[in-house]
Amino acid sequence: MTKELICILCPLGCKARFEVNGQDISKILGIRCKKGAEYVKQEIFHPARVLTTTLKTRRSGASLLPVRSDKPIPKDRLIACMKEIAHNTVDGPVELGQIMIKGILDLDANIIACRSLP
Amino acid sequence: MLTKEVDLAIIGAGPAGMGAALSAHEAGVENILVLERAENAGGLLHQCIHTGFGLHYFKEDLTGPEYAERFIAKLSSSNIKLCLNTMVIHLRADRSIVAMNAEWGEFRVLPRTVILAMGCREKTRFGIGIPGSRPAGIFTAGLAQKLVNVDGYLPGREFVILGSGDIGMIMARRLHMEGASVKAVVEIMPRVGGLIRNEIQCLRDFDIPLLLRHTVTQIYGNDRLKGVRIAPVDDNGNPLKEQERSIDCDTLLLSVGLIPENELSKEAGVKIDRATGGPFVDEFSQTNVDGVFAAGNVVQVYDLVDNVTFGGEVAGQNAARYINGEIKKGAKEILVVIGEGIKSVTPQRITGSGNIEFAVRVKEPLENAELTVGEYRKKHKVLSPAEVVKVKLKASDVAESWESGNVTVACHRLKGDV
Repeated sequence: MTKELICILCPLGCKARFEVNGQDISKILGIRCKKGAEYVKQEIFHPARVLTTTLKTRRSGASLLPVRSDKPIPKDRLIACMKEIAHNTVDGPVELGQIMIKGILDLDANIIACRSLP
Repeated sequence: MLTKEVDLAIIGAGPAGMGAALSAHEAGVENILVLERAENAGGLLHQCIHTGFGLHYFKEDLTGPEYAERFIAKLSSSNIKLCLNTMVIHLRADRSIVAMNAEWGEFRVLPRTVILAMGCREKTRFGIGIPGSRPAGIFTAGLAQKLVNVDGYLPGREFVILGSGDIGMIMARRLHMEGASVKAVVEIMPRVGGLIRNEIQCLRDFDIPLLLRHTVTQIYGNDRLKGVRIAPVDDNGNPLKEQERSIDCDTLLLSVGLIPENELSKEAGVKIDRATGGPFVDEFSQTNVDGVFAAGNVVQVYDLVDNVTFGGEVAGQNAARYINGEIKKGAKEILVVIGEGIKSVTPQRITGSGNIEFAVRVKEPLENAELTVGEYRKKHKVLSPAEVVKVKLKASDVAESWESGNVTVACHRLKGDV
């Protein structure tokens, strides 16, 4: 089956075309650089995204703390991570980059604070 | 009335204002006052919790709050005076400012230079004239972004988003992740308005329907929005009424463009370019009003915050040079003319005594293209209206234009394949 995927690494937006047979892919056509070819392979087999969302706080003046994953999370686990994060609340002072949830859902990624709360 | 005499007053503490303040401070300006309407410095960055910030400035992929905090930390460890919760109500041609806050009441600022850094605001429903009733449930995308990301409210359950600017697409993803249903993103143009990476990572990743060449033709509902009518458009952008259909939704978000916020600029006599919606500036970011500089989205709406910071830094450095008497109004100026394929260019005039960095926005996407500034030419694999193109030149690169008094910026497709 021929599939198409657009590379997002630069504004060129190359259209990759490739054949998929289970775990095998044919030569990737239409990509103009090495980085793009790497990206497309990653996208085909292990698509992952950095998750950005918010955590509830019990503090006055800042009802939410912006947070993100410190590593990309597999795309099909993003919604599960959102549900897990919704169960958490922040109390104390927070430093920028502080780990708020360690190894979320047993993934190799932590949820970290994107701002400080003094 | 309390009067403050300062070397530099900056209106707005978003990314442009912070960049300007820090670079002016670094260039030796002592007495800097930054006036900010909100309760925090950082502007819109606080609600932009997604990544994509700082790729150029820090060579890192940061969220908006992370990007803001780096500058806020620098600001607070300097002796730059930051006035929060402070509203500027007048800016006069003699650069005097009238502002107010709870601490000082109404007060006057007499600065030697001013940097305008007020940013931009969103176009509303009334800016694009959608017919229908006026129920609750119609928001600009940026307002919804603040409600969801800062205040913790989901403003609806079933959304239609009109316009595919970056904020609209980013909100589509955000709402989906928070459990709302995004029924469609409706775009009148044949392509998305924002960056390609947002089309992929915000819409396609979550199978959010994108309807290109469509628009909203009617709004329904009395107390609360009940639904919208949408229709495809012809080549002139006119809706094809016979193909209209309804989508039930309780909320409509508008992501239909941003306008530089220049009410204060106009009061001071700053001339506004219709192509950008912002002040005419020279290569020092100085407006037509002596000693009044402008930076960031108040000059033209940028796509990347990194470029807003860079613009702020240019204005800050040049405000410092102005204070030191190093910038004199030149006897002669070159006018920058918008040529074929170009939507807007800044700076719009050149005095010829410094390096020039043009920020060019093209009208249509072009592959295998050439961008020209007078006799200067540069090849580009791709030019996209979603991304401002920067062109750095020396005054000597446009030397031949001194005869004619103007230089044309244009772009065209080169013959042959990419």
